[in-house]
Amino acid sequence: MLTPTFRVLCALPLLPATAGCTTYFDTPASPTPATVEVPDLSTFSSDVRKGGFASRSFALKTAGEIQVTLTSVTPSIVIGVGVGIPQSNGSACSLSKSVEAAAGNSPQLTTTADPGSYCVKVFDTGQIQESASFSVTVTHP
Amino acid sequence: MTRLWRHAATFALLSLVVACNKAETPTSPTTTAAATTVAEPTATEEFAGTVAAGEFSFYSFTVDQNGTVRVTLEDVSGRNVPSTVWLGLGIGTPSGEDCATTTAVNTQAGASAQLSGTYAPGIYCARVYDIGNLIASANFTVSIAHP
Amino acid sequence: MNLQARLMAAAAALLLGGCSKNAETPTSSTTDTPTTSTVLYAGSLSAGGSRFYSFTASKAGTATVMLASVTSPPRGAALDTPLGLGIGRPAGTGCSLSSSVTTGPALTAQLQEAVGAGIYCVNVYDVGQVSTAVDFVVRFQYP
Repeated sequence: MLTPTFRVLCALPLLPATAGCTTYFDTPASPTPATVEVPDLSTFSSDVRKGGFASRSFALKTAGEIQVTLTSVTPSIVIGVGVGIPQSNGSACSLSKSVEAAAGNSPQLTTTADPGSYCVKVFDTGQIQESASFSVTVTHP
Repeated sequence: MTRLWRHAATFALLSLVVACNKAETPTSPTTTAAATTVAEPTATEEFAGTVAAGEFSFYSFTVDQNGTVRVTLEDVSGRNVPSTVWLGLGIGTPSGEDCATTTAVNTQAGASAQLSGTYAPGIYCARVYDIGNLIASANFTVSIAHP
Repeated sequence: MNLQARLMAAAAALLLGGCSKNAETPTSSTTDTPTTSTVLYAGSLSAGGSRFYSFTASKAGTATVMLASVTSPPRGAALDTPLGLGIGRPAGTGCSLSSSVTTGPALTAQLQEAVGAGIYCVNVYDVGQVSTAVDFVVRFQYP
């Protein structure tokens, strides 16, 4: 027969083996189910003044294709649109590729990019008299 | 409680302390530090450059083994630049578009090293800079002796 | 050995087996969190010019370099002007290149280099295509 005291003492050394050491025997977390990447689509609408520009940053979580579509410009003029890399202070968008384009339904600019922070910039190329309003759609992974 | 029972209980408690401490308390390191040899310079590089008012210039060099580095601002010249002008002279590591100095002195040109020290193997730089005395660009020569 | 002694010995053995395993045999693989530093190196490059930027890799890994932007000041329209892009070690008054490429701007890394812990540099230079000064932005990452 086991005495009560003996039962306690028997259980004592088992505690660290089950509690103190369990960190090393954690059950691995179940693998995260694979997700299907759906391209992000964002619309950027603003105004550009004569000689000025407007820009907005976005992030790519995975490498892939960036498509930029200038969907509207009012008044109907040619304007500059480009994609590039934002400066660390957020004050500027340094362009990698740019085009001068009128509004349309298909992408005026397409490029591939590594994961990271990027920006789209719309700028006056000399046709803005006072200001122009625009809308740009950016599609990316 | 029997004698055997007391011994068994003591053993179990000791096992608890010893075994679990083993996972948490690292044993003392048994390695002994090797004596580090300080090598004398085996190479000398001459850095001839120009430093404009308020500017700096630097030169990168590689120390191959732990040893003594000696940097000497040997000569300063230039129009409207007295050869005795005081300049900043430093040793550091290249960082960004500059040389981040870890030691520096303000000095005049001279024949003996104004800066020396013991450095581990790696890439270092010598930096020459205006400390507010220049009104025109100064030509200089710096000698860097290193292992 | 009576029943109590045998049970005590078994408990002690279980204890030692369970805990000593922790100290001697790691059972779960340790996954290092990948830590990389990212630098945006922006500057202006004149005809025949060369500039470099030094950085310190804290451990072995891969450095990637992207000539992200070449623009004409002051308006900032993108240019296709190819520039030299290299990675190497600071030496003398420059950057002694171990690998380099001539490339136009893109948003994918044009250069990759295995590096160990130590000081390296990224070099941007004119390969003869710059007539008036251009602005550039290089993004590079290193361990």
